[in-house]
Amino acid sequence: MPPPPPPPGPPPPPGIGVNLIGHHDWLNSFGNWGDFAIGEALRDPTVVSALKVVQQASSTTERIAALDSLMGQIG
Amino acid sequence: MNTHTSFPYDIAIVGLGMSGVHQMTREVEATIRRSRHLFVTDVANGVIDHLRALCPRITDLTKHHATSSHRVLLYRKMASEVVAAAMDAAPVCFASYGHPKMYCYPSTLIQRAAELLNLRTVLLPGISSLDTLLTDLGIDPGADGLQVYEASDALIRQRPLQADVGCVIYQVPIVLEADNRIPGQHSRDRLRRFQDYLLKFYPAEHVALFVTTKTHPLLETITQRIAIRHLADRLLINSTMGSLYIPPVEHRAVFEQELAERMTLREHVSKPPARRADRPAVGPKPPR
Repeated sequence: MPPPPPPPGPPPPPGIGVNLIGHHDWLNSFGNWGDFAIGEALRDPTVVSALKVVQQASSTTERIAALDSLMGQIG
Repeated sequence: MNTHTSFPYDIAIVGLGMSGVHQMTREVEATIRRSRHLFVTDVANGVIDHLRALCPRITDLTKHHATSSHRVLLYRKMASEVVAAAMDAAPVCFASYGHPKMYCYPSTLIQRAAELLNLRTVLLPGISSLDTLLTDLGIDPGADGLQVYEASDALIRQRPLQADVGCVIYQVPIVLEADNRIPGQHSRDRLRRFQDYLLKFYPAEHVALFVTTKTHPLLETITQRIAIRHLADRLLINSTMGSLYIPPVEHRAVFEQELAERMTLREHVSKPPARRADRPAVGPKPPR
Protein backbone atom coordinates (compact mmCIF):
# COMPACT_ATOMS: atom_id res chain seq x y z
CA MET A 1 0.00 0.00 0.00
CA PRO A 2 1.48 3.40 -0.92
CA PRO A 3 2.03 5.84 1.93
CA PRO A 4 -0.71 8.40 2.50
CA PRO A 5 -0.18 11.79 0.88
CA PRO A 6 1.31 14.44 3.15
CA PRO A 7 -1.15 16.83 4.73
CA PRO A 8 -1.53 20.26 3.18
CA GLY A 9 0.52 23.09 4.55
CA PRO A 10 4.22 23.69 5.12
CA PRO A 11 6.43 20.70 5.96
CA PRO A 12 7.31 20.08 9.60
CA PRO A 13 10.75 20.90 10.99
CA PRO A 14 13.32 18.27 10.00
CA GLY A 15 13.97 15.46 12.39
CA ILE A 16 10.71 15.63 14.27
CA GLY A 17 8.13 12.95 13.68
CA VAL A 18 8.68 12.94 9.94
CA ASN A 19 7.80 9.26 9.63
CA LEU A 20 4.45 9.88 11.23
CA ILE A 21 3.13 12.76 9.19
CA GLY A 22 -0.39 12.07 8.05
CA HIS A 23 -1.05 9.54 10.74
CA HIS A 24 -4.15 10.29 12.73
CA ASP A 25 -5.43 8.63 15.81
CA TRP A 26 -8.80 8.93 17.38
CA LEU A 27 -8.02 9.44 21.00
CA ASN A 28 -10.44 11.28 23.15
CA SER A 29 -9.69 12.68 26.55
CA PHE A 30 -11.31 14.52 29.38
CA GLY A 31 -9.72 17.79 28.43
CA ASN A 32 -9.51 17.51 24.69
CA TRP A 33 -12.54 15.94 23.13
CA GLY A 34 -11.27 16.32 19.60
CA ASP A 35 -8.99 14.14 17.57
CA PHE A 36 -5.24 14.38 17.79
CA ALA A 37 -3.43 14.55 14.49
CA ILE A 38 0.32 14.59 14.65
CA GLY A 39 0.59 16.36 11.31
CA GLU A 40 -1.49 19.21 12.60
CA ALA A 41 0.37 19.22 15.91
CA LEU A 42 3.68 19.61 14.11
CA ARG A 43 2.38 22.60 12.19
CA ASP A 44 1.49 24.32 15.45
CA PRO A 45 4.38 26.65 16.33
CA THR A 46 3.54 26.37 20.02
CA VAL A 47 3.97 22.59 19.89
CA VAL A 48 7.17 22.85 17.86
CA SER A 49 8.56 25.36 20.34
CA ALA A 50 7.62 23.12 23.29
CA LEU A 51 9.27 20.16 21.55
CA LYS A 52 12.52 22.06 21.15
CA VAL A 53 12.57 22.89 24.84
CA VAL A 54 12.09 19.20 25.64
CA GLN A 55 14.89 18.15 23.33
CA GLN A 56 17.28 20.80 24.58
CA ALA A 57 16.67 20.14 28.28
CA SER A 58 19.94 19.43 30.07
CA SER A 59 18.59 17.49 33.03
CA THR A 60 15.77 15.08 33.75
CA THR A 61 14.08 17.63 36.00
CA GLU A 62 14.18 20.21 33.24
CA ARG A 63 12.90 17.68 30.75
CA ILE A 64 9.97 16.69 32.94
CA ALA A 65 8.99 20.34 33.31
CA ALA A 66 9.30 20.87 29.56
CA LEU A 67 7.27 17.74 28.84
CA ASP A 68 4.59 18.91 31.25
CA SER A 69 4.32 22.06 29.18
CA LEU A 70 4.23 20.01 25.96
CA MET A 71 1.47 17.80 27.37
CA GLY A 72 -0.57 20.93 27.88
CA GLN A 73 -0.32 21.60 24.15
CA ILE A 74 -1.27 18.13 22.98
CA GLY A 75 -3.75 16.87 25.54
CA MET B 1 18.52 10.50 23.87
CA ASN B 2 19.49 7.08 25.18
CA THR B 3 17.19 4.60 23.46
CA HIS B 4 17.88 0.88 23.62
CA THR B 5 18.10 -0.37 20.04
CA SER B 6 17.83 -4.06 20.94
CA PHE B 7 14.23 -3.59 22.00
CA PRO B 8 11.41 -2.84 19.58
CA TYR B 9 10.06 -0.10 21.80
CA ASP B 10 11.17 2.67 24.09
CA ILE B 11 8.01 2.83 26.18
CA ALA B 12 5.79 -0.15 26.96
CA ILE B 13 2.30 0.80 28.07
CA VAL B 14 0.75 -2.16 29.85
CA GLY B 15 -2.23 -3.15 31.97
CA LEU B 16 -1.91 -5.06 35.23
CA GLY B 17 -5.47 -6.36 35.49
CA MET B 18 -7.98 -5.62 38.19
CA SER B 19 -7.17 -8.08 40.96
CA GLY B 20 -3.77 -7.24 42.36
CA VAL B 21 -1.07 -9.04 40.45
CA HIS B 22 -3.09 -12.21 39.95
CA GLN B 23 -4.44 -11.11 36.60
CA MET B 24 -1.11 -9.92 35.20
CA THR B 25 -0.40 -11.62 31.90
CA ARG B 26 2.87 -13.36 31.16
CA GLU B 27 3.38 -10.95 28.29
CA VAL B 28 3.16 -7.99 30.65
CA GLU B 29 5.38 -9.62 33.26
CA ALA B 30 8.08 -10.35 30.68
CA THR B 31 7.89 -6.77 29.44
CA ILE B 32 8.26 -5.37 32.94
CA ARG B 33 11.29 -7.60 33.52
CA ARG B 34 12.94 -6.12 30.43
CA SER B 35 12.31 -2.54 31.46
CA ARG B 36 14.91 -0.36 33.10
CA HIS B 37 12.37 1.73 34.93
CA LEU B 38 8.78 0.93 35.77
CA PHE B 39 6.12 3.55 36.49
CA VAL B 40 3.06 2.20 38.24
CA THR B 41 -0.38 3.54 38.95
CA ASP B 42 -2.09 0.82 40.94
CA VAL B 43 -3.06 1.08 44.59
CA ALA B 44 -4.10 -2.55 45.09
CA ASN B 45 -2.48 -4.33 48.02
CA GLY B 46 0.84 -5.98 47.29
CA VAL B 47 1.22 -4.81 43.71
CA ILE B 48 4.19 -2.53 44.22
CA ASP B 49 5.94 -5.09 46.43
CA HIS B 50 5.51 -7.76 43.80
CA LEU B 51 6.72 -5.51 40.99
CA ARG B 52 9.89 -4.64 42.91
CA ALA B 53 10.96 -8.22 42.32
CA LEU B 54 10.57 -7.78 38.56
CA CYS B 55 12.16 -4.41 37.86
CA PRO B 56 15.16 -2.77 39.52
CA ARG B 57 13.66 0.71 39.53
CA ILE B 58 10.06 1.56 40.32
CA THR B 59 8.23 4.84 40.63
CA ASP B 60 4.81 4.87 42.24
CA LEU B 61 2.85 7.44 40.26
CA THR B 62 -0.05 7.43 42.68
CA LYS B 63 1.96 9.91 44.73
CA HIS B 64 0.67 12.47 42.22
CA HIS B 65 -2.88 11.85 43.37
CA ALA B 66 -3.23 15.13 45.24
CA THR B 67 -6.82 16.05 45.86
CA SER B 68 -8.38 19.24 44.57
CA SER B 69 -6.31 19.18 41.41
CA HIS B 70 -7.82 18.80 37.98
CA ARG B 71 -7.27 15.20 36.96
CA VAL B 72 -5.76 16.16 33.62
CA LEU B 73 -2.93 18.01 35.41
CA LEU B 74 -2.11 14.86 37.36
CA TYR B 75 -2.16 12.79 34.20
CA ARG B 76 0.20 15.21 32.49
CA LYS B 77 2.68 14.90 35.35
CA MET B 78 2.54 11.12 35.15
CA ALA B 79 3.04 11.07 31.39
CA SER B 80 5.86 13.61 31.58
CA GLU B 81 7.83 11.49 34.03
CA VAL B 82 7.48 8.39 31.87
CA VAL B 83 8.49 10.08 28.63
CA ALA B 84 11.42 11.86 30.28
CA ALA B 85 12.69 8.54 31.63
CA ALA B 86 12.41 6.98 28.19
CA MET B 87 14.50 9.80 26.74
CA ASP B 88 17.13 9.21 29.44
CA ALA B 89 17.29 5.41 29.45
CA ALA B 90 14.88 3.31 27.44
CA PRO B 91 13.10 0.94 27.60
CA VAL B 92 10.75 2.01 30.33
CA CYS B 93 7.31 0.76 31.20
CA PHE B 94 4.12 2.49 32.25
CA ALA B 95 1.78 0.08 34.02
CA SER B 96 -1.74 0.97 35.01
CA TYR B 97 -4.29 -1.14 36.82
CA GLY B 98 -6.84 -2.72 34.52
CA HIS B 99 -6.35 -2.07 30.83
CA PRO B 100 -4.05 0.71 29.64
CA LYS B 101 -6.58 2.01 27.11
CA MET B 102 -9.64 1.72 29.27
CA TYR B 103 -10.23 5.18 30.74
CA CYS B 104 -6.51 5.71 31.20
CA TYR B 105 -5.63 9.13 29.88
CA PRO B 106 -1.90 9.04 30.76
CA SER B 107 -1.53 6.27 28.17
CA THR B 108 -2.92 8.60 25.53
CA LEU B 109 -0.64 11.46 26.55
CA ILE B 110 2.40 9.18 26.52
CA GLN B 111 1.52 7.95 23.05
CA ARG B 112 1.06 11.45 21.71
CA ALA B 113 4.29 12.81 23.16
CA ALA B 114 6.18 9.71 22.04
CA GLU B 115 5.01 10.18 18.47
CA LEU B 116 6.18 13.77 18.47
CA LEU B 117 9.57 12.76 19.89
CA ASN B 118 10.06 9.70 17.66
CA LEU B 119 9.96 7.34 20.60
CA ARG B 120 8.58 3.88 19.91
CA THR B 121 5.69 2.64 22.02
CA VAL B 122 3.99 -0.70 22.44
CA LEU B 123 0.61 -1.29 24.03
CA LEU B 124 -0.11 -4.51 25.90
CA PRO B 125 -3.58 -5.29 27.19
CA GLY B 126 -4.57 -6.11 30.73
CA ILE B 127 -7.79 -7.53 32.10
CA SER B 128 -10.09 -4.54 32.14
CA SER B 129 -12.94 -3.47 34.34
CA LEU B 130 -15.24 -4.42 31.48
CA ASP B 131 -13.84 -7.95 31.48
CA THR B 132 -14.37 -8.37 35.20
CA LEU B 133 -17.81 -6.80 35.01
CA LEU B 134 -18.95 -9.46 32.54
CA THR B 135 -17.75 -12.24 34.83
CA ASP B 136 -18.87 -10.57 38.07
CA LEU B 137 -22.41 -10.34 36.70
CA GLY B 138 -22.33 -13.40 34.46
CA ILE B 139 -23.59 -11.50 31.45
CA ASP B 140 -22.79 -12.13 27.82
CA PRO B 141 -23.31 -9.17 25.48
CA GLY B 142 -24.05 -11.60 22.66
CA ALA B 143 -27.68 -11.74 23.72
CA ASP B 144 -28.79 -8.10 23.90
CA GLY B 145 -25.67 -6.15 22.93
CA LEU B 146 -23.77 -3.68 25.05
CA GLN B 147 -23.31 0.08 25.13
CA VAL B 148 -20.45 1.58 27.12
CA TYR B 149 -20.16 5.21 28.16
CA GLU B 150 -18.34 7.45 30.59
CA ALA B 151 -20.83 9.16 32.89
CA SER B 152 -19.82 12.79 32.36
CA ASP B 153 -19.46 12.29 28.62
CA ALA B 154 -22.90 10.67 28.38
CA LEU B 155 -24.49 13.48 30.36
CA ILE B 156 -22.70 16.34 28.62
CA ARG B 157 -23.46 15.00 25.16
CA GLN B 158 -26.89 13.72 26.15
CA ARG B 159 -26.04 10.46 24.47
CA PRO B 160 -29.15 8.52 23.56
CA LEU B 161 -29.34 5.26 25.51
CA GLN B 162 -31.04 2.18 24.08
CA ALA B 163 -33.19 0.70 26.82
CA ASP B 164 -33.25 -2.69 25.08
CA VAL B 165 -29.45 -2.96 25.11
CA GLY B 166 -27.31 -3.61 28.18
CA CYS B 167 -25.57 -0.44 29.32
CA VAL B 168 -22.28 0.02 31.18
CA ILE B 169 -21.52 3.46 32.55
CA TYR B 170 -18.18 4.22 34.14
CA GLN B 171 -17.22 6.83 36.69
CA VAL B 172 -20.75 7.58 37.86
CA PRO B 173 -19.68 8.53 41.43
CA ILE B 174 -17.47 11.30 40.06
CA VAL B 175 -19.84 12.48 37.34
CA LEU B 176 -19.15 16.11 36.37
CA GLU B 177 -16.21 16.29 38.78
CA ALA B 178 -13.05 17.50 37.09
CA ASP B 179 -10.90 17.52 40.21
CA ASN B 180 -9.37 14.57 41.95
CA ARG B 181 -11.67 14.37 44.94
CA ILE B 182 -11.51 13.00 48.43
CA PRO B 183 -13.12 9.51 48.37
CA GLY B 184 -16.66 9.55 49.68
CA GLN B 185 -17.31 13.21 49.01
CA HIS B 186 -19.87 13.33 46.25
CA SER B 187 -22.22 15.97 45.04
CA ARG B 188 -25.91 15.18 45.37
CA ASP B 189 -26.77 17.72 42.65
CA ARG B 190 -24.41 16.18 40.12
CA LEU B 191 -25.62 12.68 40.89
CA ARG B 192 -29.22 13.86 40.70
CA ARG B 193 -28.60 15.37 37.27
CA PHE B 194 -27.20 12.07 36.13
CA GLN B 195 -30.14 10.19 37.59
CA ASP B 196 -32.56 12.52 35.79
CA TYR B 197 -30.68 11.85 32.56
CA LEU B 198 -31.10 8.10 33.00
CA LEU B 199 -34.80 8.53 33.77
CA LYS B 200 -35.30 9.86 30.26
CA PHE B 201 -34.62 6.35 29.01
CA TYR B 202 -35.47 3.96 31.85
CA PRO B 203 -38.45 3.42 34.15
CA ALA B 204 -37.91 4.80 37.64
CA GLU B 205 -38.18 1.34 39.21
CA HIS B 206 -35.79 -0.31 36.78
CA VAL B 207 -32.97 -1.86 38.79
CA ALA B 208 -29.36 -1.14 37.90
CA LEU B 209 -26.33 -2.91 39.33
CA PHE B 210 -23.47 -0.96 40.84
CA VAL B 211 -20.45 -3.23 40.84
CA THR B 212 -17.24 -2.71 42.79
CA THR B 213 -14.99 -5.45 41.52
CA LYS B 214 -12.50 -7.08 43.82
CA THR B 215 -8.96 -5.73 43.74
CA HIS B 216 -7.44 -8.67 45.57
CA PRO B 217 -8.13 -12.43 45.32
CA LEU B 218 -9.11 -12.53 49.00
CA LEU B 219 -11.73 -9.84 48.59
CA GLU B 220 -15.19 -10.21 47.16
CA THR B 221 -16.85 -8.20 44.46
CA ILE B 222 -19.65 -6.04 45.84
CA THR B 223 -22.80 -5.70 43.76
CA GLN B 224 -25.54 -3.30 44.80
CA ARG B 225 -28.99 -3.42 43.23
CA ILE B 226 -30.33 0.11 42.95
CA ALA B 227 -33.58 1.32 41.40
CA ILE B 228 -32.70 4.18 39.10
CA ARG B 229 -34.92 6.60 41.01
CA HIS B 230 -32.73 5.97 44.09
CA LEU B 231 -29.40 6.11 42.29
CA ALA B 232 -28.30 9.58 43.45
CA ASP B 233 -29.14 8.95 47.10
CA ARG B 234 -27.49 5.54 47.15
CA LEU B 235 -24.29 6.64 45.45
CA LEU B 236 -24.06 9.69 47.67
CA ILE B 237 -23.24 7.47 50.63
CA ASN B 238 -21.09 5.13 48.59
CA SER B 239 -17.43 5.83 49.18
CA THR B 240 -16.00 3.51 46.56
CA MET B 241 -15.60 3.57 42.84
CA GLY B 242 -17.47 1.12 40.71
CA SER B 243 -19.19 0.54 37.43
CA LEU B 244 -22.88 0.83 36.73
CA TYR B 245 -24.59 -1.84 34.65
CA ILE B 246 -28.15 -1.22 33.54
CA PRO B 247 -29.79 -4.38 32.23
CA PRO B 248 -32.05 -4.06 29.21
CA VAL B 249 -35.64 -3.25 30.06
CA GLU B 250 -36.82 -5.75 27.45
CA HIS B 251 -35.44 -7.83 24.61
CA ARG B 252 -35.60 -6.12 21.27
CA ALA B 253 -38.29 -7.61 19.06
CA VAL B 254 -37.34 -9.43 15.85
CA PHE B 255 -37.85 -7.18 12.86
CA GLU B 256 -36.78 -9.49 10.02
CA GLN B 257 -38.79 -12.62 10.77
CA GLU B 258 -37.64 -14.50 7.68
CA LEU B 259 -33.98 -13.86 8.44
CA ALA B 260 -34.52 -14.94 12.03
CA GLU B 261 -36.01 -18.24 10.88
CA ARG B 262 -32.96 -18.88 8.73
CA MET B 263 -30.85 -18.69 11.87
CA THR B 264 -33.08 -21.00 13.89
CA LEU B 265 -31.71 -24.40 14.88
CA ARG B 266 -33.42 -27.15 12.86
CA GLU B 267 -33.96 -30.48 14.56
CA HIS B 268 -32.66 -32.34 11.50
CA VAL B 269 -30.21 -34.26 13.70
CA SER B 270 -33.04 -36.45 14.95
CA LYS B 271 -32.97 -38.44 11.72
CA PRO B 272 -30.00 -40.86 11.79
CA PRO B 273 -27.69 -40.70 8.79
CA ALA B 274 -27.78 -43.61 6.37
CA ARG B 275 -25.08 -46.28 6.85
CA ARG B 276 -24.29 -49.75 5.54
CA ALA B 277 -26.22 -52.53 7.24
CA ASP B 278 -23.04 -54.41 8.22
CA ARG B 279 -21.30 -51.38 9.73
CA PRO B 280 -21.54 -50.84 13.51
CA ALA B 281 -22.91 -47.55 14.71
CA VAL B 282 -20.35 -45.12 16.11
CA GLY B 283 -20.80 -42.24 18.45
CA PRO B 284 -23.07 -41.88 21.46
CA LYS B 285 -25.58 -44.67 21.98
CA PRO B 286 -29.27 -43.83 22.33
CA PRO B 287 -30.57 -44.11 25.91
CA ARG B 288 -32.03 -47.52 26.83
